[in-house]
Amino acid sequence: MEYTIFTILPIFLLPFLAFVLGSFIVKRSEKLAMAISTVSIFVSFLFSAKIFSDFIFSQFSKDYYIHKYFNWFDLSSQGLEFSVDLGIYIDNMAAVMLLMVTGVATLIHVFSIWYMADDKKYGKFFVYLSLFTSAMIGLVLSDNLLSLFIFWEIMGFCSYSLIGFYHEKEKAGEASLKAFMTTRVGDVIFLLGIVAIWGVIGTVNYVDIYSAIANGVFEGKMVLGISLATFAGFCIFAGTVGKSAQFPLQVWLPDAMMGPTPCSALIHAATMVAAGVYLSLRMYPLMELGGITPFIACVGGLTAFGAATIALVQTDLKAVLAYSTISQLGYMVLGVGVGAYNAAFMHLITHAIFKACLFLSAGSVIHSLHDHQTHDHVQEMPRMGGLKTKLPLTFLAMMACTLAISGVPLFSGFVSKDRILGDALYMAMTNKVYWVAYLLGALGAGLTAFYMFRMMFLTFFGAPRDEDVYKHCHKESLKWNRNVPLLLLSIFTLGIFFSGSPSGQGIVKFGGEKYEWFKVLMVKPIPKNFTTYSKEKLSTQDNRDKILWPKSSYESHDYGLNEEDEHRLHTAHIISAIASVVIASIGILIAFLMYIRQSFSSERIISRAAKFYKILVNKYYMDHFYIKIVIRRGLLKFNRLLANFDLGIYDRYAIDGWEHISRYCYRIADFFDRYAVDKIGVDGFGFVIKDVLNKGLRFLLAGKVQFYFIVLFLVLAFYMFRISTA
Amino acid sequence: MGLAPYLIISMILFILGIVVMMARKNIIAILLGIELILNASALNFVAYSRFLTNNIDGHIFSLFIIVVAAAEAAVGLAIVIRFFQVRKSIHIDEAVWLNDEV
Amino acid sequence: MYNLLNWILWLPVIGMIGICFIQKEKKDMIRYAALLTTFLTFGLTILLYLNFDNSVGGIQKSFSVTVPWIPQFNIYYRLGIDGISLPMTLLTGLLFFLCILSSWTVEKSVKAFFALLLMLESAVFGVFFALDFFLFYVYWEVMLLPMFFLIGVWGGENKEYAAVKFFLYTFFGSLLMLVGIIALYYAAGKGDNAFNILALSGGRWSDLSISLFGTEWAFDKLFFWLMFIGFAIKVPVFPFHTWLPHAHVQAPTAVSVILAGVLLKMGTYGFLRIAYPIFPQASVYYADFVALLGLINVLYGAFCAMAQTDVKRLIAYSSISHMGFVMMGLSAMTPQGMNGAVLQMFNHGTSTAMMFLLVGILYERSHHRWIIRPDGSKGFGGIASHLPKFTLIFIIGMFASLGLPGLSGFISEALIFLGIFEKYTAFTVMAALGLLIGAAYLLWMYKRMFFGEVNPDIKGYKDMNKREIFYMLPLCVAVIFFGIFPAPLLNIMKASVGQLVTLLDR
Repeated sequence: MEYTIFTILPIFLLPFLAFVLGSFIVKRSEKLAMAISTVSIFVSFLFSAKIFSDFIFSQFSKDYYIHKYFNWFDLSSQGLEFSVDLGIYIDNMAAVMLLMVTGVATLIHVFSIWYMADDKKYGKFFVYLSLFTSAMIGLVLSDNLLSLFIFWEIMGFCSYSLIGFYHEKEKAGEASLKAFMTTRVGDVIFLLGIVAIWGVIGTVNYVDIYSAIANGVFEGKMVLGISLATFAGFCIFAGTVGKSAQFPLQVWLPDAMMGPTPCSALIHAATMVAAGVYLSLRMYPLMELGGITPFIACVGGLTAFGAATIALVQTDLKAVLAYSTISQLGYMVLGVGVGAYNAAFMHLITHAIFKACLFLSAGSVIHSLHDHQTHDHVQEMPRMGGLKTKLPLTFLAMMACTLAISGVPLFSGFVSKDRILGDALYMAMTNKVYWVAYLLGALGAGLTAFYMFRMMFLTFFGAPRDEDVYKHCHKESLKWNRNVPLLLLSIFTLGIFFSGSPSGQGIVKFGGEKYEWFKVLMVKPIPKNFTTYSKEKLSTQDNRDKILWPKSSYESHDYGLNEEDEHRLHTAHIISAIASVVIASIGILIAFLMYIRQSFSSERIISRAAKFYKILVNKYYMDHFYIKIVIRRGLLKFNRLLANFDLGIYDRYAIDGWEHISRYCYRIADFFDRYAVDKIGVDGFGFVIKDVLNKGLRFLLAGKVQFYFIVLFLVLAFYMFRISTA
Repeated sequence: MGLAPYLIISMILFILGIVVMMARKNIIAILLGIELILNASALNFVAYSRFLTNNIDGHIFSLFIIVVAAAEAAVGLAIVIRFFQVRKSIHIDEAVWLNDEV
Repeated sequence: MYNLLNWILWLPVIGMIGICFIQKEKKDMIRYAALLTTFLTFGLTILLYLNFDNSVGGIQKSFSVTVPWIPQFNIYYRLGIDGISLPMTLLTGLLFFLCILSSWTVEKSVKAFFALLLMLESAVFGVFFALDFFLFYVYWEVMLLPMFFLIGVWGGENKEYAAVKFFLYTFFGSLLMLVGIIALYYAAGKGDNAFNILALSGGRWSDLSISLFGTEWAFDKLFFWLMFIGFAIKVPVFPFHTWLPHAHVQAPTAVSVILAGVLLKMGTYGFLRIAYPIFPQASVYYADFVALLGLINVLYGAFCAMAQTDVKRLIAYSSISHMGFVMMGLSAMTPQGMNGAVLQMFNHGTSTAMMFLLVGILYERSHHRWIIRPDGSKGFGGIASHLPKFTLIFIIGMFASLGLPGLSGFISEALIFLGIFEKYTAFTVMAALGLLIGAAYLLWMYKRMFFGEVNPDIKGYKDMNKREIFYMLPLCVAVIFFGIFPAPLLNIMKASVGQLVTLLDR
């Protein structure tokens, strides 16, 4: 395939143009906006499928890449060089990501056609979806952190808009504000990280960053007393924490479920939240250099476990899925932290597929259930139950995904998650810090199996708990736009698509290396091999001979370990796989006993551990801490204080105080004017004239002619005397 | 006989006129004093003209002075008569109408 | 091209005189006359842009005008334009045109209002064009007069106070500047170029010292501060900022827009045109302090904005915060920071103008600006459901203002951050907090005004009419276009900014 403007850019531009067009015509024809949006994303899916097949099937090589750039703006003048290039960088990872994003987005668009059909703002929803998809594609295609950040934030905006989609609800406003601001915390720190790198190496191109790492540019550079690589790595990881809802910024994601369910599936499960992990993977060499991988692993483990515990007590169908998303993202971050590059990325893809499917199924369930008093959809699991017969296809899809997420062998989740845990165990053998991460992850896996099956059992099995809702549940009709996306997605929850070995651990091998394409192609970049590379201007021509890396730039999939380490790795994987299966089956078994067999009731456990239950229901009081304490008691109080200081004290006294000072000044001036000038100067002059000169002159000028004459005579005499003596 | 005796007489006349003007309160007497001064000056003119120059300018001037003195006496006496009609007095200190205190 | 600057400068005056001859009762005719004038002026600024040579830094000779004005004191009528003043000129032309449109509903002494606006436009152009120090000062002062009356006559409930405060504040600053101007006049030897800004610049004053109150002062450091305070009041920089909330809140919509969109930039323009080129050594010497003041601006403005319950005052404080970024960028003295600062001047002009215009549109309907009334109830609520067009444009303006990538605010802020990071790392980290709070107060305001059930009070409001949409559109386009393609603007300014940076570098 020729890689030119015409074959790469449409992937990004088609949804974007659909957004632009859609936003103009949505007023006239909602249906047309929907159609444009869906068709454009489908076409861009075809383009990315072509790229995918080209990368994976035709060029089965980890060194295959496309890198094209164009100049965004240039500030060079007077010998000061500075220009910003944006570009497209597609390697195997981006190709897989592209396929996943466009594929899932297409299916979700299709599903939305059914789901949103009776919504007032039908067209507007698709307009937002188009913008979102184009931003996500742009993010994947980006060759540098700057344009990644741009698309990152645009996605944040779409997320904000879609969470606040039902803007007549007060809660939607709160949730959207919370989501945007929480991720913004991470984003601002992320921006600082970008700026830090940019300032030092002059570009934020991934490849340039890799080669800078290899060339030792980062060595000895300090920022605020810590090394630049640590600072930048930490800042960039903060972006991941915000976007991928890791501890401590995970609070926004559950609230984000206020949006329509398809948007939850696309944005808050499959793509946007995964973008954070994608970023961490891209910047993995930097984080490794900065030495923050243990920290990342612990954050991931903590999130994976913590979110799973909260999910145990949720009663809202979407909330369970939201917490499970956080938890699964925690696994991916854990994977990044333990260096399970390939597995973390695989979990990203598998999770995107099964979680999108889970959300769509949940949407399908919710859409079928109505409360007849309020005419709202029902999301509460305690009011469901026994829906298996009414919604068989939805049940089937959801069951497949539940099996996948719980880590049941043969399903994709098992392959990816347990590779992460296997690598974590391997790392724990060498470094004790990772034990925390591994144990949290392994425990979380058991909890995951439990709460997912709890959800399934509560929703689909047993007797209906709310007869009224059950009675009015619409029987599932075979609508292509409802069921095809679900079933297609659920097919891809099978592990076979990602790994030739059904266990995923390479124990039982199936087929040749090509079946292990994921493991072979998605590998860690080695910075030192990126020192020489070429990129070309984005144009209508394609220069094909520059496409392969001059020498292999990625590690081989066996991590280049020696035989002993290889053996240890192998052992760790086997142990971890067995442990996972055991833990997962225990989880499933407990759920089964509790909700199907009713061997022991959940109420009793809840009443026994009431305190713990309360903590979990309140989500470890983190919302409370952020909103009530940090924001309301801290920030807002401080702001009010400052604002009152500004206008009430500073302005009133320090600035308007000058008025008083000038008032005193003019009082003094007035005093001076009135007394010194007016009284003494002016009136005094009058006094002199009137009382002194007047009386004297009156005496003199009394008309006494003889007196005048005497004076005249004396004066004359005086002058005569003067003349005569001179 | 030289210039000096004339000047001495003229001076005596002048001083007498001055003294009259200063000392007497009678307006008519003051007018007489003025006449004396004028006569003294006329005498001076004639004397200088006779002794220092050979022309008769001084004589002519003295004639002028006599004419002016006559005219002045006429006007002055007329004023005195008007004054006397108003004030019933010819005392010089009565002639202080400009002073508002009167 | 010789007379282009003259035309731009005097066309509004011609329009003003023309309006003076129109009968008071013919209100529409007055409005159309003003509109035509500003439209032609805007057209001329576009023409100026088209004829501008991007590759050359500094003042472009082809546009320069030099005419003796008061030859006895070597005062010239010198006009010129470079890459820093051109974006400001374009912004001025555009905003005045839109402001005339937005003032269509002004009914109180229409004639005087539009005449004063046109006079203001001429004065603003004068400030951006003047290359003679004396001329600059004259225009700087002339601008105060229409502003004083526009706020004091057409303003809100507390207009006299705000007008007087604005006037005195600015006048205080300009007097300090006048002292500096005169000192420079004497230092330059009262010669032919003693008022010529270009001839004065270049750092000739670093060796001079001046004796004052019995001590020796470095000439450039002392007078840098006089100039600094003069311009800082206009920006406004932290301790001199309190006129802004009053003036903005009390001023009529058009005047708020001009005030935030153009007049604030005159302060930073003053730094770029006068304080920095004339006293480069002192500027570098005090850069740390200026950066600190900029940081304080960013944080102080943001924190104060968050506590406001009056929309207009909130946006006024956000202006303080955003101008703080400009100050930080200026103190960076790197091409990135400086270009970012100039770009931010332009972008803040468009985005904040949008915000003020939108608040004005809302105010025309509601006659109040409370987000939360003093009694604790919501002033608005549910606007998003009731006024969809208004909401859409408000979202664009708001997100441009908070620096969403893809809209104009982001790229300038990113450039500023990049410019200052190496020199002032700690400041940058703290300024990032300003970015965060900046998003918080705007979105919080948005949430309280636009989300939720439709407030019964706003049920009667009509959505934006055609005129209102028409004057919002150019700004929307500018905000989006320059967010995606900042290059056209950056290309204008980069040569001139580069020249300034090399001057400061030396």
